[in-house]
Amino acid sequence: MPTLNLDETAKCACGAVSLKFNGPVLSMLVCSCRDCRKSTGTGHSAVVLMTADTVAVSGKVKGHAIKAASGSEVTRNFCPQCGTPLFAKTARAPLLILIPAGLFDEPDWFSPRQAIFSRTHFDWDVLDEALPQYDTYRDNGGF
Amino acid sequence: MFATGRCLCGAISFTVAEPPIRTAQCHCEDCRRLTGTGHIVQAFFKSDEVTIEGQPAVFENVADSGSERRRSFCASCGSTLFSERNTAPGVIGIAIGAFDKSDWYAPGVVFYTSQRPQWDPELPGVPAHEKMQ
Repeated sequence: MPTLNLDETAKCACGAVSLKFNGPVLSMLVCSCRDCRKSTGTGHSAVVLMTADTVAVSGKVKGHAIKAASGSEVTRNFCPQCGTPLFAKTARAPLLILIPAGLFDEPDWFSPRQAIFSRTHFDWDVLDEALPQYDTYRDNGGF
Repeated sequence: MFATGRCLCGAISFTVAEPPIRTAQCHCEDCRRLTGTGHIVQAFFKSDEVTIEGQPAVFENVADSGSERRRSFCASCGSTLFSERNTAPGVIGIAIGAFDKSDWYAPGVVFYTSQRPQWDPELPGVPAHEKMQ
């Protein structure tokens, strides 16, 4: 797969927070863990992984840290004014940043390669049938 | 009681007395952004059959459909929770991911297919509309 480089800006729904992306996308996935279902309000999150130093955040964000199904602490950051999920960080991979695909104006470049935490996926949530599914993480434990 | 639910951190919880009057999936830009995904999935109930514990934060705006929307989320953990609009008084939408059990859910209709990202699958056999109906 050719490297996808992002050079764009995205904003939350109310416009109070903006994120500037300048760097390669490392991985793209959907996750059906309980925390992703709860925080998105849907059947799965849709996640873009980048290195944290390629993303600049302007504006006030609110973070919520929780011990995730993976066992590591995940901090989800959102706009305190409109609730838009903005970015998450996991203690499992401290150099990475996880961006919700729905944040982008034109997210058609998003192309998930794996569906993780399928053990807590619900049947009513329709996923691309061609997407490899993993009970928790991919066999090698990586993203 | 029909169902219970709560946000990720538990600061907000709710109970619903009766089954939903409608269920829907929406791909509009606001729904995509406020969930961080390709769509929101919601069940709609009569407001007086829903009891909410805790005080959600509220974001109000005018939707692409022209409705005045009032969306609620947890101020502590950011979880997407409730949605109301002036054009449907007495009705509250609840994000399906917030329910403790959701095996009863099936989308009755899909809105804003005109803004559906190509990576987010279509739902075979479910009535779909380019915008709001």
